[in-house]
Amino acid sequence: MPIAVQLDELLYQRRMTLTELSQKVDITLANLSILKTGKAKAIRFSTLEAICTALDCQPGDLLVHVGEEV
Amino acid sequence: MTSSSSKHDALLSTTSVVVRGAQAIVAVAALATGIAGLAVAVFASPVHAELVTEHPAMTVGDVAGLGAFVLLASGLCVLAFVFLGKLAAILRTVGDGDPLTVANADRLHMMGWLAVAIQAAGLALAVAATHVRTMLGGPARDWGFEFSGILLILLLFVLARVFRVGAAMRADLEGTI
Repeated sequence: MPIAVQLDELLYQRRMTLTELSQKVDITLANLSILKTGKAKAIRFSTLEAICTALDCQPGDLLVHVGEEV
Repeated sequence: MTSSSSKHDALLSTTSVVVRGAQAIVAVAALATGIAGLAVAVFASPVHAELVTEHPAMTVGDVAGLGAFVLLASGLCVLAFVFLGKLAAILRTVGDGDPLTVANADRLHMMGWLAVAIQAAGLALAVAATHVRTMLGGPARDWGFEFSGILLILLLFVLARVFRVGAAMRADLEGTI
């Protein structure tokens, strides 16, 4: 996937679990897992806003363009 | 829509009961008219012998035609049974919380064609009924053209298109968080 989701790194830095994040942003644990494992096809701006607010980060901290795998 | 909320959905439950009840009725009607029509067509001579005393002008061919008329009614009941079966299948997917599928679009499309066949069979039956009524000496009745049947056909084809577009949009949204 050309866009990598850096959720694991950010959660580690903020000392937060995925479950705690799920409760803060009101997104199910299942959906956050889909996002974390790179299986999501798209992300809503509202979801991005909620996660960035909860983790106090920028969208660019969460989403990184890594390009096509060679 | 979650499947747990659908369990308490009065509209869905009522509709399912009505559709299944209607299916049972048309199934019985199809069987009864099928057997009766076959019997009259196959045993046209004995039936003619019974009826000719009251209707002297009736021929064996007329009786065989009567059998075909009843068989046509049976065919119409079979079409209605299949139509209701498709509707019941759609209702099940609504209950499961997943109605916007290509399968339902295909079902609605098929229901549209079944409605066309039912209208055509109904028209043929209405025309044949005037001949049967004349043959048995009853009063002739005008048959009317039902515009609601045409509207239903158009509605079904349009709904099939709506469901197909909906299924495509749903597939496009899959994996969106």
